[in-house]
Amino acid sequence: MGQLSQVVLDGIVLGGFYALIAQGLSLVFGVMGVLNLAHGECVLIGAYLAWTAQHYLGIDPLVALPVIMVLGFGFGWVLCKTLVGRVVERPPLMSLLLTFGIGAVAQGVLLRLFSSTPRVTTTSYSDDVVNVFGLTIPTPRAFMLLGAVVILVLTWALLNRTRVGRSIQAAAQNKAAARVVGIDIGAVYAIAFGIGIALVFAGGTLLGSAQGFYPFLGPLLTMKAFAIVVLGGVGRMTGTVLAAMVIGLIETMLASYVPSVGTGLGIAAAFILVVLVLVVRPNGISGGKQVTAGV
Amino acid sequence: MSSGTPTIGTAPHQKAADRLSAAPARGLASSRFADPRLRAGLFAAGLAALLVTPAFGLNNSALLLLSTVFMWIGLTSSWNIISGFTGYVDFGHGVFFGIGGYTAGLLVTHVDMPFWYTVPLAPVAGLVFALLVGYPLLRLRGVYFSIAMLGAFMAMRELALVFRDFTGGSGGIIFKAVIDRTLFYYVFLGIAVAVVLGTVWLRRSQLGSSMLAVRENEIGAEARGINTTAVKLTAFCVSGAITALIGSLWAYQTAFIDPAIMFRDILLINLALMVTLGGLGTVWGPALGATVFILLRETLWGTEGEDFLLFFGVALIVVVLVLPKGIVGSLADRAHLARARRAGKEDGR
Amino acid sequence: MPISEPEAAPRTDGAERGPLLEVRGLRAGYRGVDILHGVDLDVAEGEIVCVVGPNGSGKSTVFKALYGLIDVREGSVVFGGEDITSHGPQQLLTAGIALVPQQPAIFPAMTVHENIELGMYLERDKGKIRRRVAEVFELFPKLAARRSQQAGTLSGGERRALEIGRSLMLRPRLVLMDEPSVGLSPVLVHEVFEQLRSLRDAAGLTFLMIEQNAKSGLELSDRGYVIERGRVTYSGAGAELLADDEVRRTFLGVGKDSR
Repeated sequence: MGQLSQVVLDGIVLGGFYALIAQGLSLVFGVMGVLNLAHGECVLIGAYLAWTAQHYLGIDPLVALPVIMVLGFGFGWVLCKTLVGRVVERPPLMSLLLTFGIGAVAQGVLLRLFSSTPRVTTTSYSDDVVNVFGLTIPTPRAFMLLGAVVILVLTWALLNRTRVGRSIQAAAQNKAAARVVGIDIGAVYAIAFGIGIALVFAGGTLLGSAQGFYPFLGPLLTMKAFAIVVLGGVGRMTGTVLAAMVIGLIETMLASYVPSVGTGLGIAAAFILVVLVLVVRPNGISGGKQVTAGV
Repeated sequence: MSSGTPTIGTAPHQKAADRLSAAPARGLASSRFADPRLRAGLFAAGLAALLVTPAFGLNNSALLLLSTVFMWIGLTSSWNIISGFTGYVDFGHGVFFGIGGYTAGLLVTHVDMPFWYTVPLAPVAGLVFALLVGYPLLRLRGVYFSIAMLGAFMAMRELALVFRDFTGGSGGIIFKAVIDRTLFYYVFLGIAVAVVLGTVWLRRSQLGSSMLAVRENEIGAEARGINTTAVKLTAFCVSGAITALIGSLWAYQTAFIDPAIMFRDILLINLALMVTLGGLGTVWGPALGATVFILLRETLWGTEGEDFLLFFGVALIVVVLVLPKGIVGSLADRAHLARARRAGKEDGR
Repeated sequence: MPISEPEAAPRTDGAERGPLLEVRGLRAGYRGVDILHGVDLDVAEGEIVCVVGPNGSGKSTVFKALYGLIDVREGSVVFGGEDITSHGPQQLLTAGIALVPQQPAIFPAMTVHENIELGMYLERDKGKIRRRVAEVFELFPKLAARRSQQAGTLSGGERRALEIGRSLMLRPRLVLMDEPSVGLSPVLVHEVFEQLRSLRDAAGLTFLMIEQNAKSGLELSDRGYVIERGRVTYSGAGAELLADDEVRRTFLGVGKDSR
């Protein structure tokens, strides 16, 4: 049935984007124990950066992507060194409140700068489509999936094949032990937070040319990323990717098969799924303890 | 070998520091304010003053400001029961406010029920929702519960928006307006007083101690025979029911509801900000934080301008970094620290 | 590199040869409340020194102050002639001091091999790391047998051995240990201490440990310090302290069974 395979494909494309932003949240949560409530706003900052680059300078989002990711890393690093890093060792409420505040500020600033009008980053290929086995994907969405896959593979390599990645994993597994072998925990936090934000800036950049975005979208994205992290288990990249696919598929299926109300039910569906999963397994699908940062 | 010979006495500068910090704290600890009779007297006098205030011809905006303060005292103090006492910080508590408002709105429009009949039903709806959602979610620890509640909040807003045949969708529901500031002044005053006194009672009760035990060490509390599930659910239901009641009254006062105003993000930020400012988990902190914050906002900010998000966000960040234990918590801490210093000093001699 | 002088391991007073670690008048605590009121300690090269004391005496604070976890308000810590007061873990490691904290300090989802490797996190030369790993596995054959096993699957004694083995990767001159006996059965405690002695004898290592379990701590070390209420009240050879009536009565009688 042609319709179904198209819906599945759309779900996978959406899932790729979700996996990217959820991995950012998961990395930060796994290493620092901080649930970044400003996560969705950071996705939007990335999207607006790409939009600005395209709108005022005429730079294609895919060209701007690496630069935006570097900016994201820098932004996350500074944010961690100045604000978030100060509350890591405090009760979790403090980091929730702090990142909640950061999210509100980011939303306020975005509203100021860009108003609440939805934007789309237009490109030379905005109206093109890619044909795959008789199914179609708009080119920007194809790039979104491709970009997400490439970036996730690179992130996996970074976390598992480099000294920095090793120190991040070590800090996620045992902070006291990481400290005594000479790992600078403060630096690891800043790097992990930086990587997390770089990932969501990238997600925002890719999303921005695939669909419209506006400042109030932030909390929605945070919630979706959180739902995925809970479903997939904290700090498990394969779990995160799978859960992201599940959420993406559910969303596209609701939109296609539930008349009139289906498109608006993304959060409710994800939430109900999370509640159901948590009722069965209070620690997420994979159930175990959180011990790794990115594998 | 006598390498371990201790030096006798304390360093001079430490003594000076002790004297400096101990003096005001000792004053606080033994101040007359600690006398419960005096406190009760002050409370009664203040209450009496507030009761007669409307008779002195305050204009409507002053009455509205005061009733806003009372409403927020009710909201913050009820939020504090689940978030402060049991330590399960509810980041989606606005969902109860919305449920209260929508219970009232739907009953008025669909069943044509007179509004005051709906008032007792709003907290019932809040209670039922708290039971349904609380049972699975209160099994989650720490941040998981917090953000899952945020999910519940957003999901309910989405549902209110999507099922527009039933809820009016984004068009909302319009009630017959009843504009009586004095009435709402007394209603919200009554709620604020009831919730605060209820909190005072709760803090001294067995149930309240059990809630604090859950916050300090849930596994330990369980081991001591406390039914932690029941304690948490009770706190959550009470907290949710009160907030739903306030939501329904607010809807009545405003005479119009839609998903965007009944399920406002800003309500969540406000709650977190006020309670943190006053002191999470303390008895008087939420009321103090609500009062201080709203009065400050009125004097410094006027009304909620277009940059209110920026303002609240910055305020929240500053409070978290500068005053993480809130006003009440910091004062208590300082007194405690001074006692420890004195004890340490005596110990050192 | 440490000069190996196992025979010279002093049973009496390390200060004669100039101590390796010299702590003088240490005052430290939390948020302006002092826990330590001027603590003096000496550790000579090749010694195993144990600090004991009842709960809340401040002995863990000694460790935290040495390790840079809390601020030292007064006093100094000198290691091999170098002032290392308030140095953090990284600087201590570079200076030649390794740390074995009290809480479990392994990386559970990494293999034993990877755990050991991380002991040389500060070293980038891969060949050097490989050689040292081989050396450590030589000292700890039991760990070598489990090298590709996840560290989270090790038993309590093996974990402690892993922590100690890992701490030797940078070839420290002094190993600071916070309560090495915590969570171990008496037999294993004995085994761990024996291991420390043989490491001292084989590699000329020096150990300073904080112990809650005063009896085995003092029995198995060369010298001991008793800390009470933030001050050193007794010091001397471990066996002498154990035999001292005053120490037994005021402290060990209580401390013997409490772990």
